[in-house]
Amino acid sequence: MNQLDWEREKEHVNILLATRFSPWYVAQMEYTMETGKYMGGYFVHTQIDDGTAEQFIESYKDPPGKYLLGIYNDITIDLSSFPLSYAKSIEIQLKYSVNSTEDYWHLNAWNWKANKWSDLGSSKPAAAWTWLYFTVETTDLKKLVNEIDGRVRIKITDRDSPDATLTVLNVDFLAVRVTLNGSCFKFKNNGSLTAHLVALWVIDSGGNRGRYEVSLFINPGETITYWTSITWPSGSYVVKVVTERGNVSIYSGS
Amino acid sequence: MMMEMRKILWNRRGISPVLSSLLLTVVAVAAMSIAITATYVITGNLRENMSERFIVEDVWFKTGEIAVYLHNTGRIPIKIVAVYVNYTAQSFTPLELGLSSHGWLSVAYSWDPNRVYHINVVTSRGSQVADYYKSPS
Repeated sequence: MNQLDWEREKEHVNILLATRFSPWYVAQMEYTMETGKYMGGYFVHTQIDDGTAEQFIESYKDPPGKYLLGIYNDITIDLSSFPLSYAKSIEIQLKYSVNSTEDYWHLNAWNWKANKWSDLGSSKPAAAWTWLYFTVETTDLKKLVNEIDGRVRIKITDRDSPDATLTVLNVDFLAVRVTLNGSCFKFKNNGSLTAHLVALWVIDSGGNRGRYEVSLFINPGETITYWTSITWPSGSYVVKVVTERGNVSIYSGS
Repeated sequence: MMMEMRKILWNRRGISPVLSSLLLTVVAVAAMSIAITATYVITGNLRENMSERFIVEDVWFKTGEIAVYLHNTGRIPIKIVAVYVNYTAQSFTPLELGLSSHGWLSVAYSWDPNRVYHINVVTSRGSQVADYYKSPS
């Protein structure tokens, strides 16, 4: 065993994160009722996509003489981990079901600059009591994300539907995540020697290999975050990082 | 004039020690120069070997081929002269890597899926990088 072999054994770099998205951020408090009534469940039921939902029901409002429902909540993005300067867009996902197919269900986000709601799009269920995923993406980050605390205020509402019956809405999942303008990697040096990362490999689900040259030094025990413009197609992927001493760490994600 | 010269040459007060010291210094410097040059020449190959470092970044099992991605991390250019798969020499595309350069080394080999292969890459100076790699299923 020579010096290099000894150093290679002492070197231990881990990839903690390799992603193009932030995690899903969910509601941390109860929904505010704008119109309509609370029926059952808790806000925690809207944090996990598991078929357990919080229920709301429309109430009659005159004017305009319709059964309406409008609920909203604040979802906070961790801007210290995912600064807006590295973000391309935000994605909002709602999983819901209703007992009637007559309404259009809109997702709105609060425009913090103009102090009004922005309509991000609508979804119309094709069948009653069937879970439906409704996802919208917006690049209007500066307006829809509160730059001070990372809050995104999301409202679910039914609109423009002169329905005659009370509609029950089940919200199983409502979350927001950031789509990065590239990708984010987190490396940790668990070894006892300073590691020099020299190359980054991304192997996508199609088997395509992308090699990217890097030059990152990580002290023992240190964790670093590396932002880069590297992107890859959606689907499963493998990320490898190679050190100057020839050690390779692997991370797989999807 | 002749008398003065004779006085200097035959004067035994202090000239001989100076000359001998000077001569000894010249001899010592010359000997050291020869020794250093000899050491430099003799250990030149060793120094080159010690400066040579390369790593395998990726191994890609393709149809009828194993592609090995090499990166020269040393302080001297390298030339690959032999590749052994399971301790058997294989034909490969010639590859020379300059300082900090990298590239694919294509080794002609008909591999079987889901098996472990010992791949050893050897340079012209005798440095080797060897490891085990598993083929995809």
